[in-house]
Amino acid sequence: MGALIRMSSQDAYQSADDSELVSATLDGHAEAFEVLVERYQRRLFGLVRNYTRNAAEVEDIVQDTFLKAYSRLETFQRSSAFYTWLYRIGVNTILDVMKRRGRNPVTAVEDPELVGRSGTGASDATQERLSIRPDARIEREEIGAITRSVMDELPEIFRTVLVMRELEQMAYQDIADTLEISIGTVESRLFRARARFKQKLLQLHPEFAAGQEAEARESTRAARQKKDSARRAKR
Amino acid sequence: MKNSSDRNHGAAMDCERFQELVPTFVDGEASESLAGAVRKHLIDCTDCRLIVQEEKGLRQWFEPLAGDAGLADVVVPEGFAARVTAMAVASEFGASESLYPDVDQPQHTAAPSLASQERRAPRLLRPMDGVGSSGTVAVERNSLDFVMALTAAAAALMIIVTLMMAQDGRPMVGGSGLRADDAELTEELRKLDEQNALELQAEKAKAEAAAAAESSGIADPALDQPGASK
Repeated sequence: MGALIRMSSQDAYQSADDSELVSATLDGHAEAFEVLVERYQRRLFGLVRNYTRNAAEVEDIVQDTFLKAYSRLETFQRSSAFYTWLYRIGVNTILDVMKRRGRNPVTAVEDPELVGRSGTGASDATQERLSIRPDARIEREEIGAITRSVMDELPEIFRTVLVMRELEQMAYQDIADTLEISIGTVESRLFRARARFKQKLLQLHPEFAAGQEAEARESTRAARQKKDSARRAKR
Repeated sequence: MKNSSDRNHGAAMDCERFQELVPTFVDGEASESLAGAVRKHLIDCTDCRLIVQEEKGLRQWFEPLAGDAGLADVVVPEGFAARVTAMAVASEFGASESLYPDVDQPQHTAAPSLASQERRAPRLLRPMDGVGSSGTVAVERNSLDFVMALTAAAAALMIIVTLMMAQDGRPMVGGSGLRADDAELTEELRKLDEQNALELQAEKAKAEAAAAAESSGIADPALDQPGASK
């Protein structure tokens, strides 16, 4: 009987939107919060998994995120989406945990704000020109596994913007709001993160460097520029 | 909102300027006017078209992990939502369930005000109403209410019993209770002091008498003669 009633209450909440569930939770209906957890637990597990492979640790971080969200539910502004708000708590929890545990520390040299977008060095510039599109013959699962392995090697500061942009497909503005940085910094950080991703990908999987193609393109470009400058000189 | 790269794109775009804008353009974050200028440049520039293709090629690495596709193999432990909800409700009673107590303060969210905390507190003691009263969490919550009430009652009872014991269990001396009255002790000490003074006086007198007797003995020379005492 209890299970039947429980099922009906759960069904009623399942069709409610996030804002209604938040209101119901604040009114004392814990089942509404349970539905919110069920609704977003999978995405949060997916998010946290980008930072640690330890299943227990992933569960701890997701759990802590939901507990923090519950305790701060009254601060949730209805103007933003619940998941955006929850996601922000999740990212902060992850970054705090990683920082406390001293994982992948970002040195001053690696900090994009300190280095600047253009100060990537010759090797980075070369990497940026390399075509590293995944081979069409590789299975999607394999591409995903390679990408994960490369992401694991990146400092959190770069990994976070790549996760937000490429995996969560967040807009620049949402990334800026979540990390409390300017859009210009988002652009700069993404630029650096992608450059680092390419660099690390080619380090771990040099077979993906389309070196010959890139060289050919470079020589074509150089020849064209030479031709243009000769033409200008004639004028 | 569009980004800062939108500045200074009124003039005809050169390749160097274009390359700076490629990531923003490919991400779909460029404004309409900027995107239009980029597209126009792409029609005329083969090299820049290649750069755009390369930029798009990089993004293909992330496609298998993007959006819902990346969640296909995510495994959520069974009963996770119910467990977390029960912990969240229980944590409202004061014991924080946080695993990371030193990172509890949010970086990007405002801390709940004291007033809001106070508003939340009474809700916990309200009986569950409506459809919410029969779920698992409601049962756990009601059980917790009961345990809390029982603990409070036990604590009150212990205080009462302690007070009663303090009242009834006081040691009795004679017919009256033990008092912290030191008058008698003071009187006894005074008597002792008087007695000491008398004894001291008597000893002093005795010593004086002995000294007087000794001095009278020295004054009689016959007593110092050998055999005089015989």
